[in-house]
Amino acid sequence: MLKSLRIENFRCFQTFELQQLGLLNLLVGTNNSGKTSLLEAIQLLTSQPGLDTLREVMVSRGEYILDHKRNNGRELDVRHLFYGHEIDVGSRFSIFGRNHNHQESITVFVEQAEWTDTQTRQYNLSRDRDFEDSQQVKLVIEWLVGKENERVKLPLSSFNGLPFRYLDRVRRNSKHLEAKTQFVTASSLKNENMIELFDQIVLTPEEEFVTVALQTIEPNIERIASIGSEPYQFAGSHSGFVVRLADEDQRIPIGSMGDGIWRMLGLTLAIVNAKNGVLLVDEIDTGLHFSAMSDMWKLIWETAKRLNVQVFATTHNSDCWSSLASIASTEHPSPEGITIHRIEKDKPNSIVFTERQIVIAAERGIEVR
Amino acid sequence: MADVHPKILLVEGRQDSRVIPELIEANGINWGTRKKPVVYIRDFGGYQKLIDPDVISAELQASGLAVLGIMVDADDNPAGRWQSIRRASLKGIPDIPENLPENGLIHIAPNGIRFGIWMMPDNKMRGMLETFLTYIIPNGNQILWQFAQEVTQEAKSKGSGFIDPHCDKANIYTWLAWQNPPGRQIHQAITERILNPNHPAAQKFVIWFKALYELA
Repeated sequence: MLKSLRIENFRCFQTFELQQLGLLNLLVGTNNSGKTSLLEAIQLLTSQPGLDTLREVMVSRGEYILDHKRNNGRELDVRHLFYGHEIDVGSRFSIFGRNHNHQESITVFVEQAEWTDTQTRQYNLSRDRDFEDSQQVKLVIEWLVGKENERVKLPLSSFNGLPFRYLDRVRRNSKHLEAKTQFVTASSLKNENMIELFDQIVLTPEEEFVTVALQTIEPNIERIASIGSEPYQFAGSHSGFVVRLADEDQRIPIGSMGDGIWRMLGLTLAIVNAKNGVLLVDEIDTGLHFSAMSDMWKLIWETAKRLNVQVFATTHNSDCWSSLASIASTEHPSPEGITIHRIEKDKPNSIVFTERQIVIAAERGIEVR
Repeated sequence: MADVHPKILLVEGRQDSRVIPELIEANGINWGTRKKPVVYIRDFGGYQKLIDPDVISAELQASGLAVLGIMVDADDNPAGRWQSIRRASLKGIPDIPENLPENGLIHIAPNGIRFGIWMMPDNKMRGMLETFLTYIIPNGNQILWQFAQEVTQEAKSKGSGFIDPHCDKANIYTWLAWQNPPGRQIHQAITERILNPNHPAAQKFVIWFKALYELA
């Protein structure tokens, strides 16, 4: 479990620190204060082997370039990851995490390329016109987990882009990376991801748990099933699942049920698939009526404890944090419990409310956001 | 629902939260509206609920806060009261001074927040809000005030049940009972000038308050 996180020169943060992290952490702050960037930082630090995460993060923000002229395909516009949106030789960003008994970090920097023959072969540079006539620089990504480190070097194009085709070639093989990280964006998971996650748990005890979670929104739901066959799958739609209701003979497509059910399904599938890992949720209140939020938090908190999932979520919503207070406890605050972190622009660290302070703030009408 | 208030005063009880606005407004500061007062007062229903390190540090972390003041009663142990409020503040204000200045504490915390403490009646003597209010009884009313105190003592000897620390309360309510109109509540007595909010003896507090909250 992450106890603290420090980042340097990443996105809008020159330096920033999150301390006193708990098992369940809610990040609040004004628009553009960098809450989502913090989730990304945690994701980059804790995510699975390979650079798929980096690609997903950047593509979802539209941070890529299409090089039509050179027919080079898509490139990640990596300068947006760096503070100030500019890179040069020597530019560097780092994300450091401190756990119970070890440190981990990811550092990304730009250096002048001096390619060895092996690397030239590995990346087919000799056949790549782009690198013959460009100022050759490379992006170095260095992971450190405890005492082990790993490093990959990737060539950057003349636009300082990182061509997609290099990303697939990088696979981390550290043993430490058994933990799983799940990221639920504000617009929730895509249906193909949800079906994939559902397949992981179908006919396991966790399937029952998903049903219980959905019942907090719609008590009539008796069962949920995925229907993976193609006619039901349209990218971006709320399709691929049907539910049986207590008072209905026919099965009902989940898309008929409203956004709250879809959100809840996404959250529960994500958390049960993040066992011993990390769940990141952007704008966790999206689609949920305020009356559903206490139940949502109860589910997330109970599951986080049961499956040892560290949760980081963001919100703008007042009901969202005050309903979190309803599951926090003043009498028995757990030492690794619930925290709220307010992110303020240009401050070097977050303002932390401990579990007990969250309850006090809710009772006294102290605004934490 | 929680609102953002840049200037907040924490007090022990309802009485404090009613009296302070009247006192300050009578000293030339427009208190503003109920929704948007110049200083938002939060009362805690008792000293014990207020002097909690987590309460004070949570208050100090409120979104958009610029100034936090705390007003407590010295009661019968001014030195001990200061120590306990100081200890409770340490979590949020690690560099809080050792001693409470006679003119009230105004301290700029490392994060730029203005932090103040006033201990009723005067940061030094035993007593409470009501003790402070006895200071602002109009000068022309002293004979009656003397008499009110004597009568209260006599009532005590005839079995009146109030406890000794509440002597100042009993005195001032006795005195208020004999004004015109009789028996106004304290904050009304200020508005109606039965008490004199511009009395020189009130000025030390008013100056502290205006300076802490930067009111002109």
